[in-house]
Amino acid sequence: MADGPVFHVEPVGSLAHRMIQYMVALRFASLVPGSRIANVHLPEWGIEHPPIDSPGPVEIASQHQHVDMAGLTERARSGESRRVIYNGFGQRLENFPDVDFCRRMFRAPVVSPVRFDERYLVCHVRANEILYAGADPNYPLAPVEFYAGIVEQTGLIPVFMGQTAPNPYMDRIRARFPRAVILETRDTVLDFETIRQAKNIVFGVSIFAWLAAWLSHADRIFMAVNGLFNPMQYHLVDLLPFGDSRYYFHLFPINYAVPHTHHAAAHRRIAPFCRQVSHEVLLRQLQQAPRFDPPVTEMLAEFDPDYYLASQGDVAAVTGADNAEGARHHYQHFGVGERRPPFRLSPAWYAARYPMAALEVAQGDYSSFAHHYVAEGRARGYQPLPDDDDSRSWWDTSQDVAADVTGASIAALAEEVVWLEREEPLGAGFEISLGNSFAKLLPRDVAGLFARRKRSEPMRTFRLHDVVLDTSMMALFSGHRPIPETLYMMSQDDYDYALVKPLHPEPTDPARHYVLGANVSADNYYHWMTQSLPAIDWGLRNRRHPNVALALPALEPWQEEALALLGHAGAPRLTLEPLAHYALASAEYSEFLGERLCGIVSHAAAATYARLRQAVAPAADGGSEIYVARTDSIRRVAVNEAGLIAMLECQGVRIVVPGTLSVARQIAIFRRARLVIGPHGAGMSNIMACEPGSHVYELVPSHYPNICFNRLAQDCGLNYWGDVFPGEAGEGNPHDRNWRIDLDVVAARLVVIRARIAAAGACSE
Amino acid sequence: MAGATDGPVFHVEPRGRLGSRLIQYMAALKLQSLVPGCRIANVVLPEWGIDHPPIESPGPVEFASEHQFVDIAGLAERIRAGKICRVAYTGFGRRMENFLAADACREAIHTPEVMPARFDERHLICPIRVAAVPDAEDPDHPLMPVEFYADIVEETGLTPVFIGQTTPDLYTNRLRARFPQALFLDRGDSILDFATIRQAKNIVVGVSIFTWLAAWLSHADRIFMAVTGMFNPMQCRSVDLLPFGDIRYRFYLFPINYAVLLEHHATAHRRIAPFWRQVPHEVLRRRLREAPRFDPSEEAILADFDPAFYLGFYGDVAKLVGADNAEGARAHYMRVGMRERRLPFRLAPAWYAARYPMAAFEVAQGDYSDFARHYIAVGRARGYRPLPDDGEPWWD
Repeated sequence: MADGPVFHVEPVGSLAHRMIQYMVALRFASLVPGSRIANVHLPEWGIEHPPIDSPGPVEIASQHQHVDMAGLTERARSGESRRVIYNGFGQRLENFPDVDFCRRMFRAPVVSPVRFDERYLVCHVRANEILYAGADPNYPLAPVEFYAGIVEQTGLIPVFMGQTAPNPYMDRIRARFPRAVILETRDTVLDFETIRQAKNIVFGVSIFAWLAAWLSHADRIFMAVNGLFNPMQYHLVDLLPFGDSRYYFHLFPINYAVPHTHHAAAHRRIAPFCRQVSHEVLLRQLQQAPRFDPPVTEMLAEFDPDYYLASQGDVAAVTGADNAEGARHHYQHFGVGERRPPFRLSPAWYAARYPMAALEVAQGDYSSFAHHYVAEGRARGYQPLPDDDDSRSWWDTSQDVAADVTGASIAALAEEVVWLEREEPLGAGFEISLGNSFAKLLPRDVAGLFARRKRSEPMRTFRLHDVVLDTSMMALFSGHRPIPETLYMMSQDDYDYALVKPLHPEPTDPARHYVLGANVSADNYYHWMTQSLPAIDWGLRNRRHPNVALALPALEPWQEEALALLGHAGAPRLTLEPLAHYALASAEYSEFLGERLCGIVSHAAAATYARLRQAVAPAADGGSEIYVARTDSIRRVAVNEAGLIAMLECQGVRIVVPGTLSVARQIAIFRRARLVIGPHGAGMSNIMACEPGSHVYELVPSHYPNICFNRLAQDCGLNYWGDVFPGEAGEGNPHDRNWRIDLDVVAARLVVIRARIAAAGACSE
Repeated sequence: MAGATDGPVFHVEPRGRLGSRLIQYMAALKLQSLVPGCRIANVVLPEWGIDHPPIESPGPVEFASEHQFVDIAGLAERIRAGKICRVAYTGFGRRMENFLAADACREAIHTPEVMPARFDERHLICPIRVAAVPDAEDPDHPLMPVEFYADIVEETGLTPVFIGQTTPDLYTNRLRARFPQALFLDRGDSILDFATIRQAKNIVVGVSIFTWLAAWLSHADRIFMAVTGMFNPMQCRSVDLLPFGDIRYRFYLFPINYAVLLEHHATAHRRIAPFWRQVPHEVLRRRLREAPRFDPSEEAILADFDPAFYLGFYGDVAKLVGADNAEGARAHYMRVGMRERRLPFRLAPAWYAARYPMAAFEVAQGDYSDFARHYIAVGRARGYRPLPDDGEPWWD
């Protein structure tokens, strides 16, 4: 016995990987009587096979997943080899002894797992490093929707265990399953036994959970045929126990790990395409794959020899790195069958961008995405790669996600779409004059944004039926899906949360038509004045309904004052509680409240600003030149603002701190001014009260070149002047970074502006 | 003249509206081409200058009354052999094999003397047809999803022109909102619409025999055809209007889907939108030819057979075997019903399709021959239900 053949295992990977290696060794040992297993240490299971020094001949078995078990055992039995060194993973069912034998080898050690009976669904979470980019692409996260589908189907109580440390993915799981049991990450063996002793198990792409489930006596095992587990995606692994009636297979589209910030978007995309399939169907689809033969001639027509030689080093080594004909010949005779890529195509991008393609490959219709592209994708207008000049990624929330994943667009949902204005050319009554610091200190595309607009843009208001207003985001939902256009200033996390958010709407008066008068930023002076007021003003003036009420959060006194100046203080109102949901039978949302307004010119908004201006007489005492100080703010401080103020005061410019004044007083002062000077800040919103043809001089910090006041000036027909000053370098929040204003530049600019005003005055006289 | 008056007669009983009657006429033309001297009777379509008045003629008469299948070769054979002298045709005949080549049909069906609006290769002609109340008897004529037009417009960059019944309603309002630059032509004149489609360069075929025919007779460069409703043989087995091999056509395979009430169409369409896809002719043809790919075994289907439902639902069977004859019902189902794809137990196909678009996708691509088989093979295991719970709407 002491000189039988030796099966020496070089350990790879984590506990489950080493257990599977041991199973390979056990199978070898069972087929070669007298053989000895060496170098396996699994103290967790009380398994210890010390290394053994033994003579050759040595055979090294190092294929990743396949093991030539028949050949190895044959040669060991015949004495042709005396020692096998095994360093593969061996993750194929054919490499294992039968399951009962394996169960006996891994006896539950003395730990007391939490036992969950047949009422529970034990859901293993695989998260840790696979949450982050750079992880193995064949380890995608299991979609939250996958767990949800099984919970719904079975009615069981979910128990989430495994890698449950807090992260955005777990947050989504918690939000989706408020009543689930969530076990903190514990001892590895304890987790393994918790799965193994469960009655109902679901798991994502995890070898650990796969093995625990396989060794279990569970009634039902719900297995995602996803990532590594789908032979169409990763053809070396075969862990699908066909014929084992415990298993329910859920076939996923081909999908790869994505950066952790995008998993929610990625999962929402593939969710409609996941489905449970019977063993026979899945087996047949895989056996018959590819169902549609690769069109070799057409694939050769797309063949890119340079790419092929560069990406397939082994081919280049054989044919020579410049041998295009050799490459083509290799592809035609070997590469097609080996599913090598004949041209540049990004499988991860293609799969994520075109989930239908990912489904078609996953169900065995096509052998690879290159095959899919040539046979189907090309004709459908698919692209093999993302556009270089298209900064939009597939997970971008702007278009695709809006269309596919959130609800339909607001225009599609609306009962009525009212055009408040159509686009028009802008009048000639004002000019934009930018200092050469724009070219020096800002990227060209950013500086370009400050140029004069050619046209105003159309504005619409939408009348919607049966929507729900979420006041934490001031966003509207239709069904359970957010209406994408109403999501404003949302972080990715907010956005993801919005999609899983449970809605518990308060009832409202069904006979009323509610005009939404605020977005999520309405407590800021700029957003209230420039966005809320036009939304309210047009909603009330342009009544779409006999019984109109405003839907507004509780207002500050200054907000009430502004509303009163427009004559709308007495309009019927629904005062919204924070963090609540309201069911609105009829609601109106206008585009003033959305993201677009701050970057465009709107004549409709300007009409509201003009009404506000006309509600207050010009100040009798204000100066005709004013400086809008930011001395009341601690954000984006101009470190030498005191020096600037002193210099301007000497020049006779009046200093105003708008935040200390009533709204009416601010309007009065600005209405009188012919020139307003100021750094970017909410107080500049008052330029909407300046008479058309007045002048605005904005001091722009280079680290925060915001165009909103440039647009407001163009809305109101004001001459806009600007200079950029260098901000502090650094990363992070630009509002926390300071900057310095060059007083000489301001003084020189003032001379020029005064001369222009004087000349215009002379002309008009 | 005397010779002509005693030839055989192909008498057409008109069915349906204009489009259907032109299709009937095409079957008559096909027969006539096989039996020189055969006279077509009772086809009067003055809009197209077609005037075949009724003819009294002697028998023997053969009735050709199957809905879509017409045994034209057999009829011709029997006429030539003198076994019959008159055919009374009452079918619809919506199958490619019943038609002559497109050029022959173009010649027979002239463009009428109207002045259609002519659109060029920059335009995408989208004939639309909105039934005021979706017809419960016409579930196989679903609306064309707004999202589908959007896909085609995005893919081609063409300017859409919607012609037909474009009066404002929940559907056309969505079209207007989605395509602010589109043209809408509502001329209330279907002859003019027919001519416009026929002269178009790019056409999206709606689920309508009328627009299908106008598109087929056209010289368009591209015809975008949604294989949906009655156009999908997995949905309407006996209809075959897929011109395989005609390179003008691009096929988009849809999940099985049925007409729904106008107020629910947007929900229904958003549900199926992820699932339609363009497929090459060869792939579609093969999917249909190899369908059903994964049907359950006969034993599995019979295990779910519900004789009480079967006898209650199919009056003809009850009449044949007796209303209480469970064994007779089972025997009928095994012998006949299964082949005719009758329901073996209570299942609401329209509800099932709308509630489970993946099932509708799988049946449409030929994996299963119908929803009852889908339910048995895989739906039940997925937790699908064959029927809605009491009062449960599918759009919930």
